[in-house]
Amino acid sequence: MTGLILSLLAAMPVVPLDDPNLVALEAEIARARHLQLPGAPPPYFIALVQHQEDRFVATAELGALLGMSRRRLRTLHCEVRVGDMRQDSSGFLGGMDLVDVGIRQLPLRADALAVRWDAWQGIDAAYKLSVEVLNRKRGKLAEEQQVEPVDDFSPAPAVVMSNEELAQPGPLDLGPANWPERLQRVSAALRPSTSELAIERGTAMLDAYVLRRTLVSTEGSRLALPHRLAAVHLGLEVRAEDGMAVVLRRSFYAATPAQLPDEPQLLTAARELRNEALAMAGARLMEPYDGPVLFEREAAAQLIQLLLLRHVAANRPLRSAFDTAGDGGEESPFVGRLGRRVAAPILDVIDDPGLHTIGGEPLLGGYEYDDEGVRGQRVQLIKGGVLVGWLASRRPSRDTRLSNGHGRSSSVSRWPQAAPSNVIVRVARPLNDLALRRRLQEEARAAQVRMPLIVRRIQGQKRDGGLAVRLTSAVFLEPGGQEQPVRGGELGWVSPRLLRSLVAGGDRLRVHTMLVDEDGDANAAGFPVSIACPPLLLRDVEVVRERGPFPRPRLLPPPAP
Amino acid sequence: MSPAGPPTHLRTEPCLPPVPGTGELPPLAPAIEAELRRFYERTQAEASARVYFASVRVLELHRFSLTASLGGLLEDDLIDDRQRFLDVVVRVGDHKLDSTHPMRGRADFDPGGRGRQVPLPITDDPLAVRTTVWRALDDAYDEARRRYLKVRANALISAEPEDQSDDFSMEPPVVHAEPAAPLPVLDRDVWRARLMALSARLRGHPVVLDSSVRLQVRADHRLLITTEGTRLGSAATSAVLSADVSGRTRDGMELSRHLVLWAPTPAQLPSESELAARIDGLRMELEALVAAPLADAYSGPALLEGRAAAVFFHEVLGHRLEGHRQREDSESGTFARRVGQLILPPFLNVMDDPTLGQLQGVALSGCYRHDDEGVPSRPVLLVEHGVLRSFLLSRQPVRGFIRSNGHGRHDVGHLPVARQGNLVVTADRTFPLARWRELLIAEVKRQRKPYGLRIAEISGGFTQTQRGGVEGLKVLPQLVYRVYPDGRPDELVRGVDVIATPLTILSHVVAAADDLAVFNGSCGAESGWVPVSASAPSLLIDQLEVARAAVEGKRPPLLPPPKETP
Repeated sequence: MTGLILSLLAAMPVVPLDDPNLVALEAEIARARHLQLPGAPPPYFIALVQHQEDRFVATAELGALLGMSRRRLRTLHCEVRVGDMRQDSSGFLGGMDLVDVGIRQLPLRADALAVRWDAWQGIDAAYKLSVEVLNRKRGKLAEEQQVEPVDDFSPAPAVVMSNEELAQPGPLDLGPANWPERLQRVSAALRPSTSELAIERGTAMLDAYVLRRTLVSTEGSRLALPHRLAAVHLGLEVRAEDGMAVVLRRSFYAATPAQLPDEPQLLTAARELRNEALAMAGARLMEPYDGPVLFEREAAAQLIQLLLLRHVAANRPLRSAFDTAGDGGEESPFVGRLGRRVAAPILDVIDDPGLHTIGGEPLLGGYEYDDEGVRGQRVQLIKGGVLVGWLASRRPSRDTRLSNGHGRSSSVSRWPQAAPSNVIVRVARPLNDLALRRRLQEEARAAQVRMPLIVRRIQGQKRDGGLAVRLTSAVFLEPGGQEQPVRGGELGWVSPRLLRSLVAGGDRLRVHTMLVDEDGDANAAGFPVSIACPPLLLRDVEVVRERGPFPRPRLLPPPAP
Repeated sequence: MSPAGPPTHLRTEPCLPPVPGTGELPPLAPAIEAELRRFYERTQAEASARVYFASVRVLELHRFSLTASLGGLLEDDLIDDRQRFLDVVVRVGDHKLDSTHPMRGRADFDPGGRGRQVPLPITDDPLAVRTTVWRALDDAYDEARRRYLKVRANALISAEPEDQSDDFSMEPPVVHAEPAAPLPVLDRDVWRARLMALSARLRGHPVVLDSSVRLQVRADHRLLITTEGTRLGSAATSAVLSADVSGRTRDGMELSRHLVLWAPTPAQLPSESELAARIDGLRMELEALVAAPLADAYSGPALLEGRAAAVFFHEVLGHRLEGHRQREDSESGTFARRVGQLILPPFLNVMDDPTLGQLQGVALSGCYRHDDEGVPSRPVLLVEHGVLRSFLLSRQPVRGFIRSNGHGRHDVGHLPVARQGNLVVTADRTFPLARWRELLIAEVKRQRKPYGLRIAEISGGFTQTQRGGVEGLKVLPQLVYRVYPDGRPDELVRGVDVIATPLTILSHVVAAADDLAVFNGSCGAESGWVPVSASAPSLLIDQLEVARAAVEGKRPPLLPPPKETP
């Protein structure tokens, strides 16, 4: 280990740099090798990440512009590790002071002295905190019997990019569309057409950004981590006559604004969303249900994200001075189950950040290098229902020793965690749509259920320390094939074990992209994860009526159009 | 000592035109009015929870801001920040007892329909505006109705309160529209270059660890529509240039200096050369502070220079004269029963005059024509020759004062309460400012103290006005000098806070100089942040107590600062 540490402090790459900020950062890293508090070890690893963000956000509501902004920001994140790879200052909550230490705002234009000034102070603050945290951590861990200790950091090869690669991506281009006006027109399609329709909110939002992260480290890495994304989010809130809110959202993602659906497509989507929401608002209330459920459209991918993906990321919980069992996140229920069955034997799941499309549909969760500078690798996660792999960052876990390029970070203030990128879900012996519905009916008959349930959108939210999954768009399938909307249902039991009752899946993958944070939760400020997933038929699902109370109906009908 | 005129002599530079505005209400007003009327009429049928007052207020912000540090821009938004917020108030009950009534004997954090902040479209689509207003009023009504039931139950089980004033005063409706005030025209490239140049002056100075220079120009449009018939449109612009520098001593004390300059438009801000001098001054003050010795706890004579005296009065007296603090059970009500009594030395007068636009050539940031409840602002003589005459009043009455005097103010999302506007302290007899050292040293010698204190700048402070806590205050001076009686030069010291109790400290003001200094700033309290000013002469205090300030104790950076490379 000692030899490895020395090699980590190797000389910086000798390729001359065009970017004066990177020259400045490397100069400060070189100086920081002399950083040492009396009686404390020097840093063994320093990484400086420069985030340059150019972001445009505009929102319209029911035909009117709510606001817009174009934000450009350059920040520096200084990571300093003290100790060694076996045990270092990471993974331990040191208190509130951890949040912003080592983060500095940089000038928008390159300026070597200003950047060095910020790096100098950011490294200094992060180093001092790391020394303090390492000592607290050692004090805490000394109280415990260490069973099967796991390293805190894994080695990774240095990556050096050319000046051309470091300049990627280019600036944000909003394309020819006048987005504020387009969003107003699209959100106008969400307006009620008569005063009887209690549409409370109807929004259309564009969120487009280019994020250029450049990382330099004492390992000799010098690389760019480019991210770009454009999203249109449609949202609609309708209140049913009994006061229950029906909230539906639909999002479209692309690499650039120009690649997003055009205006006629967005208008069509808005009208469909309005019709769906109004149908749901007028639907019957869910009664307790036990039986087969077909998760299709977004719901299939959402189910995989909620029940599976958050658990196949090898993230060890953070520790703190006061915890007994770890209060910095939950441990995956799959820990220690590598090679064992965790889902139905027909399920296969892989994650591949290097894929760009599948079946002609774009995948947007990918990258060449993850946010720790490790090349993203294809990982088979589930094979025949058996857990065969983990998503891993540079923080080792019981089942992972090295990163496979899945360390992802949603913002400058979050440490990278293992997370999915592009996920491909397949089932053995897939069925076409018609056959899948026939199978659903068969399962219903076997379970003595007259009308089986089809779920098209779900929404997960944390509640009472657990996860609640609301069925935001669902229909009962009548024996004749007609659909009967139902509202107010939620899964009665949420566990990865639900996937053991998967009995069939469709033959067509549908890509659903979502924004997810380091904890695996849906988060508008998260990074994109694309999930290509067929419809999934689960045999035995318990559905209950959503817990109230619900707000009273409005005193007045909405204003007339 | 020289005589000075009555406090009203200051009202010589009104900024507000005497003729009411001739503008028109913004185009969204009819949509809001229609929705408010529909809501009000519908709720009259709710016999057990009748709405007797509701208001809708719109705050429209148009902002342009730049931030620079060390010669480069940190913030330069390509699109101006435009936002509109809707703020609704719904009162259930009647003027005597309504849903905003303070709960007795228990903590209560229920907003109860008392101010809600809701984003409103920035374009004037009537249906979108009406839908937002419909939703906000209905939500606020739910809260107000729920809280009214709690208030009534609480009133039944509680003893009679000491102050039995109504919850809401009767005021005549106001119909007034000021002309629109667009964002002031400024050459943005010139200002970008100016801020970069100003911030570059702080580059490469080892003591200055962090620094920034910021310009914010804004145009605010406000619209208030009430069920009483008030329809009020107002508009104002402002430009704030601020600079911050901070550093750290070897013993780990964080020190900073701030500069805030306020003007109605950027053109009225000081020239670039003056700004450069002020910023150089900040840097030099910080360098001197970092090198200065730590001060000791001390009690003895002190001079508060004008700006410091102004902030001191804002904190020590101004907040305690806010009307709601006189009647709420939780408040100590320091002056509640002292109207007509001497509370200050008899040579001092204090007024608050929001109609005052300028004072001695300095524009005042606490100037407004109508307060946030639609009541016309007016000057209020608070203390006359040391005797308490009145309070700052919103529409929440106080015993003996049943009407507002136009000081109901709030930031969006909060219920208006009485706040300061332009607080002005004057003295009936003064001494020439040039004699301050002579007078201070005489007092030092009389008390046989080793030195006196001169406090040149106060950054702010906090004051405990609630019962149950220690009835005290702390004021945070930034520049404090020891003044020695033996002719040694004044010595800058660091690391002290002024500590006091209000009645005692005010009784120790023994003389006032013939100067007057203005402090413009923002004041944060339970109704949010509002712009205020405070003005006062330099004051001689015969006994001021200071205690050592908290020290973070963080080491300065371990390595020397980086150097500019050619």
